[in-house]
Amino acid sequence: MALLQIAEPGQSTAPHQHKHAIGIDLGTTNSLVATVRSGQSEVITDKEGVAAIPSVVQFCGRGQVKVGSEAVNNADLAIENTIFSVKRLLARSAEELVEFNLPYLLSLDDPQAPKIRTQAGDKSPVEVSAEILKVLYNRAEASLGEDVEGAVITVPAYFDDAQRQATKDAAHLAGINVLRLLNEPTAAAVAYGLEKKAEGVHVIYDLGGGTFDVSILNFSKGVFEVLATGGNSSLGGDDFDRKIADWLAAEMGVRALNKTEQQRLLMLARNAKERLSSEESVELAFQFSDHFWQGELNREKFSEIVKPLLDLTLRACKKTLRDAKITVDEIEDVVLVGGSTRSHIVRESVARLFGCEPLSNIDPDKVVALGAAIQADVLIGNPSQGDVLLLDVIPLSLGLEVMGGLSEKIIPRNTTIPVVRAQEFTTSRDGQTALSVHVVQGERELVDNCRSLADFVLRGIPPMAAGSAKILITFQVDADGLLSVAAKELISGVEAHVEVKPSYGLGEDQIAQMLQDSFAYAKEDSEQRALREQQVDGRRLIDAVKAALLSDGENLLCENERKKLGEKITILGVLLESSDRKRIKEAYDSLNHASEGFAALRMDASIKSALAGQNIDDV
Amino acid sequence: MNQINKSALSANYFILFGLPEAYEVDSKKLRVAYTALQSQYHPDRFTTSATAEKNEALQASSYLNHAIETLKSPAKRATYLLELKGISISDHANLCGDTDFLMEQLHLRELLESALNSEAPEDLIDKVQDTALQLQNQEGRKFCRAYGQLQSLSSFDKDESLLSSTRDSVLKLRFLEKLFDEVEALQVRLLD
Repeated sequence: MALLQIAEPGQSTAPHQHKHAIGIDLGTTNSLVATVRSGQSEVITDKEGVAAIPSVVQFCGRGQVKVGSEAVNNADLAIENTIFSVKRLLARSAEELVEFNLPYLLSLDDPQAPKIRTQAGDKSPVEVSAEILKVLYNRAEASLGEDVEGAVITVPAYFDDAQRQATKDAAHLAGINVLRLLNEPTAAAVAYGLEKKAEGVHVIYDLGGGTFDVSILNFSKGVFEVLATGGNSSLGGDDFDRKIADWLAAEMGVRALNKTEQQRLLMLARNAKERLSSEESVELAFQFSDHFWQGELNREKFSEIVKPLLDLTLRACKKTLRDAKITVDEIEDVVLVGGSTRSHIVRESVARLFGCEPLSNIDPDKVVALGAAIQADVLIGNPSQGDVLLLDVIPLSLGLEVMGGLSEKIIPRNTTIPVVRAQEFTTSRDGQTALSVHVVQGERELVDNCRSLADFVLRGIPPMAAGSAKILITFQVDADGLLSVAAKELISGVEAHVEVKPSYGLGEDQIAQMLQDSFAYAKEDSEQRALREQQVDGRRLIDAVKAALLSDGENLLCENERKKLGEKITILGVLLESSDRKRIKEAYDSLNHASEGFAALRMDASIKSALAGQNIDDV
Repeated sequence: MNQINKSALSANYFILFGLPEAYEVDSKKLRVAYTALQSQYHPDRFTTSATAEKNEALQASSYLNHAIETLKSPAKRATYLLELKGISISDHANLCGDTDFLMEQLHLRELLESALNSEAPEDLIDKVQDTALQLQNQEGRKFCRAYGQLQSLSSFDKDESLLSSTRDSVLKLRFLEKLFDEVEALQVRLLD
């Protein structure tokens, strides 16, 4: 049938395939767009045949916007109007942006939604991303004709809810119909799995410029099932460059370099790294102030320099294997994604860990976009790829804040999506009519160490005794990995519902840090947890005794007894502000013990009054 | 495009996946049935459908994920089998009867805690895991037996001693599942 497939570019051959969909890899450094034509996935290039568009946006006067290499070429002239690596800024707070030490002016009027000051006005990271997406989309439309049905946009597997939402918002802003957000490693797996028709367990090792993702998938009979995903999102090829630059500076014996020299040194480091992919050893030369340095870097030294970084990625791989409950010998193949995997040391280390030669026969820079295009084609109902189904997971646990500032996990990480989970909660105080629902994401036990996603209040709960209300909180995560939360009081039927739509997101490195911390501090957490629980118990006891004193203190106790209880309440109250668990416990026990007699008296009184036909609820 | 046939999504997870209503589950068959249903109901099959239908797909697919998770876990599966017979076991029920079991649990947890400071933590963890696995199989068999006997009665909940035996097994299975979680968390920590 090959003859029938001859067609002009842009025209479709199969009669039923008049619809097109595209896959977009919105990267930190470069972005790409791909599609499926006549059953073949391909990257859409510009007139010169270049596939990658640098993820750089320049805002010029009179509302003019330049994107890609055009923006890069003029960057020197307008540094504060040229935005690089905007993906790292998506869904960040003002505070985080300030910490980045960016060369741009920031508009921090709304700390929840920081913007970048440009001569075309204040631009949010979402708006900047939208400019890149527009260019990609226009390129696709020009190539395919005006019939682009929609797009699949890829995100790092480790992106949290806020970052995913921000990506989707950017696409909407660019006027793109988003068919689906897809995890980058999953996209790569689709491209490989379908090309090789290889069933079994695949590991995707994705080392980009700024992030590291690892995913383990099982592919069987057209179904890709993600078993676990992990990573370290503050680690990438850029960090390798920095390490090499540090080493170079030490070799040269220089301490202070100016900004331009630092930049040049970094370029030299990157260049050396890239050349070492094909050469055993490289000669290097560097001119700074009035000195000239010449030296050599070989593969062995290079490996030694980047080993600590590489070890971090290998450790993340091992953890993810554990999560997936997979052993090394069950792995069918390992796929390399991202430009940084071109380094021989990366390939060697990965091969050693998994005991097999990793695959990179699909260009590691293009494979994500290609996989996204294939999935997009499937989603609009083109049957050319056969029956493909992706079952993905959430990367980080979702939970709720409960008493004592603790996070109660509702959906653990690596749960297959879409998923609905409901859990019943109750009120902690008598007559409580509202319940604040605080949704968090992360692995740590304390809410303060997790990422806050949303905060809302369920009001109108009829006043009841503490613990009698039944509040059902439901988490729903859709196939894009986006969360919505609903709360309902079951006795009265009062409801509240939110689409979790945070105005800024958690930083990629913050997620990594959070994950690392959660393991490193697990012990500290459990001690803190015990302390918080003791504090909660203490507060409850104080509330209870105070309430009892208020209603029955006058009747049942003499002044001396009341005074004694009052003192113990004060002592416990003061200690609760401290973090001395032992002393809190002592004060708690002391008050508890002292109030036992009073409790017994109240019980007697309530029985008496019940017998007397009075309302027991008033006791 | 696909049609969502909600009535095909049986309320009974065993019927849903075409499996016999029993504690022993053929995990391969479960997997195959699950993916076949997901291929039909997953939201990705309804990307171009109307919103209402998309929402239904979301619910159907979430339901399937909930169902397979219930049947994959021994403790959840046993709980569910009893639930289908109208017998519920709350999370807060106490396991008071079997002090030997509780002592062993305590011992296993202590072993786990000591693993972090020991010279060969992996060995200790493996030992705990093996013991827990044995206990899980043993408890599963016990549950199976009592459950089978209950089923052969004219009314499922007639025999109080059999009932309390199944209940006891469910609580122990839950205990063991928590222990497995702790083992896993520890294994991950050891990688740091």
